[in-house]
Amino acid sequence: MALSEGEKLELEELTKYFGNFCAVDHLTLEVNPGEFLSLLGPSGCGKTTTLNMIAGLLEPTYGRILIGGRDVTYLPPIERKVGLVFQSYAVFPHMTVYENLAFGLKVRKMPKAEIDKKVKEVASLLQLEDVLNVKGGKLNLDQTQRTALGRAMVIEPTFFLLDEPLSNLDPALRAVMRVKLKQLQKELSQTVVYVTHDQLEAMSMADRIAVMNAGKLQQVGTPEEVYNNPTNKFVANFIGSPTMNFIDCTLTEKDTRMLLDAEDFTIDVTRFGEVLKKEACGPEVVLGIRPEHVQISLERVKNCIEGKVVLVEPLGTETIITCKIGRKEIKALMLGAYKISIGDRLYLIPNMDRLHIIDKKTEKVIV
Amino acid sequence: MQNKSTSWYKKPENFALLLIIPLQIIMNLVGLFPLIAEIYVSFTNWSPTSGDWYTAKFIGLENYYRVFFKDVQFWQAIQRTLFLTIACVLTEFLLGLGLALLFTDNFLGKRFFTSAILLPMMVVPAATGYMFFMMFQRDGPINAILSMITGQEVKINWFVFGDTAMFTIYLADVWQWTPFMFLLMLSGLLALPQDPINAAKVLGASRWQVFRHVILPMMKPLITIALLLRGIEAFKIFDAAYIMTHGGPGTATQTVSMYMLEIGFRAWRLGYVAAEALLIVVAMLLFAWFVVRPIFLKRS
Amino acid sequence: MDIRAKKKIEKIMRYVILILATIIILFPIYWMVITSVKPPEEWTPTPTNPRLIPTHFTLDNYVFLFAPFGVMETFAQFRETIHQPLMSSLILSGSATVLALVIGTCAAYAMSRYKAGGEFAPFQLLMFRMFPPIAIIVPIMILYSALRWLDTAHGMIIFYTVVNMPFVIWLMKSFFDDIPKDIDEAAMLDGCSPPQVFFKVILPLVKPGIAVTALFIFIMCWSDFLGALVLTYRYWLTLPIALSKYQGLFGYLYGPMAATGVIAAVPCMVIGIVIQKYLVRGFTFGAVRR
Repeated sequence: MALSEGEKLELEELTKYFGNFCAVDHLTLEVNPGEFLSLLGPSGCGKTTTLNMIAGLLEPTYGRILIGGRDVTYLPPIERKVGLVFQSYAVFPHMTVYENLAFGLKVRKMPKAEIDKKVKEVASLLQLEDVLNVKGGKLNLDQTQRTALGRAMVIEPTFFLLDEPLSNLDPALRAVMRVKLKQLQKELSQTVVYVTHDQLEAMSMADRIAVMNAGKLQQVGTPEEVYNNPTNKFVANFIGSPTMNFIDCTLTEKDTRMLLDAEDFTIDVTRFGEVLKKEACGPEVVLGIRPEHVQISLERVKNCIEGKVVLVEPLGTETIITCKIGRKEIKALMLGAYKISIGDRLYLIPNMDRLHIIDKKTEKVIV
Repeated sequence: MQNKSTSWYKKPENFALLLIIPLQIIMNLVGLFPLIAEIYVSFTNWSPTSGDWYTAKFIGLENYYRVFFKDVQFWQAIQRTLFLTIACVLTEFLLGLGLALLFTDNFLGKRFFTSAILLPMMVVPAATGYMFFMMFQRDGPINAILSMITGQEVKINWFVFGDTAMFTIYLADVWQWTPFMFLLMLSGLLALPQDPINAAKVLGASRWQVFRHVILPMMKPLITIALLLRGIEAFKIFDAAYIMTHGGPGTATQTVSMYMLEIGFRAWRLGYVAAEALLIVVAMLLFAWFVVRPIFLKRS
Repeated sequence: MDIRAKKKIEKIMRYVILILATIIILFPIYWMVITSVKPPEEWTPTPTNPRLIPTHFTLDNYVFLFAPFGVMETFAQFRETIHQPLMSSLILSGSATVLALVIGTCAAYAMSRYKAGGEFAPFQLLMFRMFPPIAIIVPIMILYSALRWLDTAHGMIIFYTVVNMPFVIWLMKSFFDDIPKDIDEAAMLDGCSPPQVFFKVILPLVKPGIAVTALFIFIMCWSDFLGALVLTYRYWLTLPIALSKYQGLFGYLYGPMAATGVIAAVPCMVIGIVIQKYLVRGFTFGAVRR
């Protein structure tokens, strides 16, 4: 199907206040044509508000929205040609699937013959031909979903906005749909902005992820980037499951060595000495390491941390082991099944290449 | 701890019975027995002027026959009332919906305007009739305002002509009951799911298109009920209209209720009125069974 | 067109329409209240002055209603005072409200908790509303004339009670239904007998509901016209009937007539404003489900 040429979407300093509450705070973002960008963040971080502003349902308090270079900030939705799919799908219950699909074209006063052609095209693409005459209220979940998608596709939008479309599905179905959606997107090379609070969804589907919190953009990057090089504590915490370990430490200098002092153990971080001296605002830092980057050993090794097992969570192919060191806790994720019981003594070896040191005050990642 | 000798009125079933007995007594005494008496009376030619009801002569179906075939005034009243009902209900619906559409989001002074719009509904209907009666007098403010607007002296005798009198009754009813429709429509609009409406907007629909293709269809069930409720009430129109015109001039504005009043309590032909009343009750029952009940059942 | 400009225009239009509507809606009430405080010279508009804004205020009209002699000499021939209809309305409406509330609340509770009266009881009550009042009045009239209850206080009170039962039960039942049955059960587990559950536990919880229903029923009783018209003729005429009487009696005394209208209408208007939100329930029979 000849969907329109993708155009670049740009958000400049997009801001939205509801009374005194700032829902979106100076958001600046670019979405390239054909790209699958995920807007990721916890509930209430402003992602749906942003989506509504892009679609034209809300007026920003400040800032601009540009599509292909045109300023569309104050244009009504009909001039923006955006396809929006809601979490609830919002298929018109009293109209047939055909009428649902045709709606966007009907309001643009397209001639009947053309409408018919385009509707049939989309219907065949999404396998909706047999339910064309069924009323929207009588469809099952799968058909409703495809109808919602088709309704947005029919108007040949410049890009698609999807607002958590998979959150109503059970996990098994969700996994299947993730693959299907991504395939469809690549096939049709459409630009998609996908809003979700599930980092797994974002990681597996998106070309780039934009992480938001409390209205502010935290980081934009490919899944690899946000996973390996988070720029602040929030992103480091939000991405990855199980979540990253965070331990408060103090940066001390002893002779020529730099140490992370966590009261109950210390780690030698001399190799990062240069950067630390430059970037750190103070001696208070947070050590961050992902559970999957912590090795366990039954014997004492160099630069290890000694701890006692307090919890073992076997997940089949993996095992999460929680160790207590003094008052601190560290989780380690190990492949395979381990015969470890609570109370055992273990030695944890953090992968020094995957270590993150976060300044406690600014919450910015230094390493 | 169950005490073996719990008083009988404390047992749940008995207590429930106790609670509902006063209701049954009063409803049966004042509701049911008179109804039976009425049915009996409708077969007689009782008139209080000629004695007590049990002494009246039994005339079988003669009353009913007369109502159906000989009583022109009755059918005229029915026609008039139907016409009035339809006009009033439609106007109230359109105005109510129109106003409700303005109240779907918040704006400064919303509370004030809402109270203002609801006010007419809270005026005693008899007082409404009274108010309009005074306003439409020959030397009253309506004529004065019309004079101001048209520049020439307007001295319409509203209650002297049948058509204008009907019009005043129509206005009084619309004035009084539009708030009712407004309330219903507003509750309905506020209860609508927002997503389909937003979806339509994003697809490019204009305000009018969204209204026509999405909002209106979703409101259909509520609108049906609203029209029905209001229609049933409007058919019974009495208070305000009676005070304003007493059915006059002549019988030009005589509604069904007024007509029955005249027959029953001016001419004192209670037997006849009983027959009419029962006919209307039967008609209402039929209407309820075949029209209202399906709608009621469809909802649940 | 630019969304912003369009929105501004719409905002202004909305206010224009609302202000116009408010003026039209409030005009009759405004005029009646104004007239009730105008001196006789200002009662009727003249070609040059529609007299929409009074220049002199007076309470003579109200005084006239309570004590016709002396205030307006020329009209002193009218010996009617408004005492009787006013008292009558107050007593009858008040008593009927109390009685209807007592009986209706008990029945509503029974219906809510024990499904007394059958599954269709609420629907049946709705049916009552369908009949033209005149159809209901005739049998009542027959009964009352036999019982010699015409133009009596008890007759009217019972009549009002019966007529408003559907409302009381409908309203109170919805209030009772809002309270989860778990509370009843918890109370019974604690050792309360059913009567105690009702009087000590549930009833206090529906107090606001009772208040609202009471005010609503009061309005219904006060507004009654046909009932009083038919069932009373001398001693227990109510205010609405007085309005009708004064039409003929006072002729062109617009001042006192307006004052009567105000007295008749104001109490209910005030009550109505107070329970605005709850009117939705009463008037719509819960037709709108949220």
